Amino acid sequence: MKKRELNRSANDFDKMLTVSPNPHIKSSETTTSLMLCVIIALAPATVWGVYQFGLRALMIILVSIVSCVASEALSSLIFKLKFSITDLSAVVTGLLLGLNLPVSVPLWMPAVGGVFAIVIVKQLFGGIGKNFLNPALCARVFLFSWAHEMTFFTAPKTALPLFSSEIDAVSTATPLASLNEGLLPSTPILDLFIGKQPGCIGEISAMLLLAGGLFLIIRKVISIRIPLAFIGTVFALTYLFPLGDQDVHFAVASVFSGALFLGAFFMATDYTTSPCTPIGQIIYGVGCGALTVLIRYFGGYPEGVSFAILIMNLFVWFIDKFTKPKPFGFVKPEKPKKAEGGEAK
Amino acid sequence: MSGFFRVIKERFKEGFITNNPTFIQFIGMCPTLATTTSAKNALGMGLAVTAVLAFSNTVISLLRKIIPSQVRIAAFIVIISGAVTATELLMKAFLPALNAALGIFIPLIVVNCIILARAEAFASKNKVFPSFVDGIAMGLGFTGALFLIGSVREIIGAGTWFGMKITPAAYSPATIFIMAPGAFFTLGILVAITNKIKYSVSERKRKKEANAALALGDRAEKPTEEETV
Amino acid sequence: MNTFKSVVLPPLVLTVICALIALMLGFVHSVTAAPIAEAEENAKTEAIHAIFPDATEIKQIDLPEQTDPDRQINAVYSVENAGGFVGYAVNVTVGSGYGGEINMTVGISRDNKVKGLEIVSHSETAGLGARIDELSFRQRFNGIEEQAVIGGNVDAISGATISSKAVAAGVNAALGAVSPLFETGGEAHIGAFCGEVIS
Repeated sequence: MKKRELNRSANDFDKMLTVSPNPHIKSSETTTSLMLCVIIALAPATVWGVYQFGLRALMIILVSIVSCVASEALSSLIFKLKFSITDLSAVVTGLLLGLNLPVSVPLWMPAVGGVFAIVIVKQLFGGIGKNFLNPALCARVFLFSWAHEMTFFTAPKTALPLFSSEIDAVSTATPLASLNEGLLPSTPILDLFIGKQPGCIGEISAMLLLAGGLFLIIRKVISIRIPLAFIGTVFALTYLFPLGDQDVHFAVASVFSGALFLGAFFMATDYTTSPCTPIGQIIYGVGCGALTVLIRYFGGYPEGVSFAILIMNLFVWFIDKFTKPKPFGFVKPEKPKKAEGGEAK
Repeated sequence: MSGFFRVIKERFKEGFITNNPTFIQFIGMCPTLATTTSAKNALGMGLAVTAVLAFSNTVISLLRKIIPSQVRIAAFIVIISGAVTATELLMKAFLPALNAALGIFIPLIVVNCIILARAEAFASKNKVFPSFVDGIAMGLGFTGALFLIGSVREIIGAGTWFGMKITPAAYSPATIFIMAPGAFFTLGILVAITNKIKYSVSERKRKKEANAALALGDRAEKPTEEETV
Repeated sequence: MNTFKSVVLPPLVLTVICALIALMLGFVHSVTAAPIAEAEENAKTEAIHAIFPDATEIKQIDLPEQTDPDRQINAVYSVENAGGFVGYAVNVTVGSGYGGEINMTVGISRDNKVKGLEIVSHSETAGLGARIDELSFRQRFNGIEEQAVIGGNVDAISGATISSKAVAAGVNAALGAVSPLFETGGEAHIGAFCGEVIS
């Protein structure tokens, strides 16, 4: 402060100090704007999925989104929660759920999944911000009750009916099926990166998902820690311990196959269900990666990403608690001295 | 004679509604979740527990003045495990298919909380006839709950009821409901429904009592604190 | 008096109660022992009766070591009906199922072909590998003579290749076990082996 100001009289102080209630710093970010960014980031992969698998893919995504939004609206009314469909979080959940399904599933499956994701996983626990598991992933795992439909993959560019559940196509093996037997997939690695292999609607193009992920990182919606730790761990483990005497190509193929990029950039980074602290996020990413490889190698289903993220969701509370940063100037209080001749701990 | 009917009515109301072992007391959850994979298994389990409960409640009530309190838990357990072993032998002999379906959960009836809880809370303190009726009532209340859960799980998870297909051919059963997670989903949703019913019944009762007090011109009753379960 | 009540009486009462319960159990046991034994015998042969519905006699027979190098065969039975010898039933356990061991009973008819297949127990994934229990899958093995080959003469369950291959391995083990019996003339061999008469 300049010397002149020190000489001002008392009743000028109220002009110098502006007192108002919080918030004192405002940014233009709202839940809605964040969700819009996520939708924009997912758009390229979605368009590619529809291009590869046909309009039925679009139908599945639309049914999923409508089911999620309708469930949220109805359940907000019935459970008397805040009416929140305008924050677009239900739209994002619906989009993610749709992208995680094979194109050949009957149309009632994304509908049922949407209801489950919103009503049971999100609303019953208190609505947005209060769920402890990722709703879209939980719904996908719930839909595994119909294991046959969920593991039936058709080749890209197969003609499929728009509404009917009568799918007359032959099932093909996804790259993960080959990887789990210790062989390199039949699709070349560059094609795996671009996204020409069979799989779920949104998971195939690592390239477009990476672009979307980088968009989110640049816009500061997500941090690079979780995706880097997640994908890095999967790469490291599949490079150090490949199945079937393979070399680095196995690790690269493993990273571009399955739902890894979709999970790492868009599902593991969900604010509500991931840790807040920086170190916590790295631990979480590493844990997800390790579990993914473990489940892919030793588990009953070919893909481990969904289960890995859900299991790590359960540990988020612990991770946050044990990686809490020390407050500035914090000194640990001294433990009270044991009494003379007291019992050993 | 009317005393007998009063006892029966009272005990059955407790066992089925006001003190239902599954939905109100929340005891005996392990067999509830594990054996309700089909309506038939649920029914079988419930009836086995009812038989054991009736026997153990009766015997414990008969001996309640003789068993010294220091060894009462040990004595209860001996009586209960005797009843369970007898039930298991009889099922192995005459109902082998049900025995195979329920498996280890039949011997586990010994540690089912319901039986020890009723022995300690009721049979050791009441006469023989009420204890016997209490055993039957609690057992049937438990059976009813199990049967409800088992039916829901079987219909949604397998499309059948007692083995008969009752859903249309187009319905693809959600197999998760006959597996462990389905047990928790079904139980959770049913408990939410019964809690809602319980809450609205007690709310209505409280409002009626408050209105009655007002109507009498007395000072209005202070609203009582509702128990949140 | 107090000592009696607090020290002697409790164990005394407990002992009497235990004795009475033991007595009750002894009685129940005597009533149920025979039906239990019968039920257990029936369980063993239930699968065989499902494959050979009109079987009247089922005898367990011994196998020479060489036919079972992987120790998968649990028991071989020769099955007869009113008209004589109809075939063999082999109980096999394969460890190569997706979720663990699969125990099955394979029925082989007089002309050395698979007559039927019953899955006794398995730990496969529900909705996928567990579909090996479906009749439509098991029937694919009927009539197989030399070897069952998944992808060849038997279609796998889509999405459950490993479970399907495990069942095929069990069927082949059974076929391999009884083929020497057919080479030397099946019927003649029943008298040569000692075995228990089961039903």
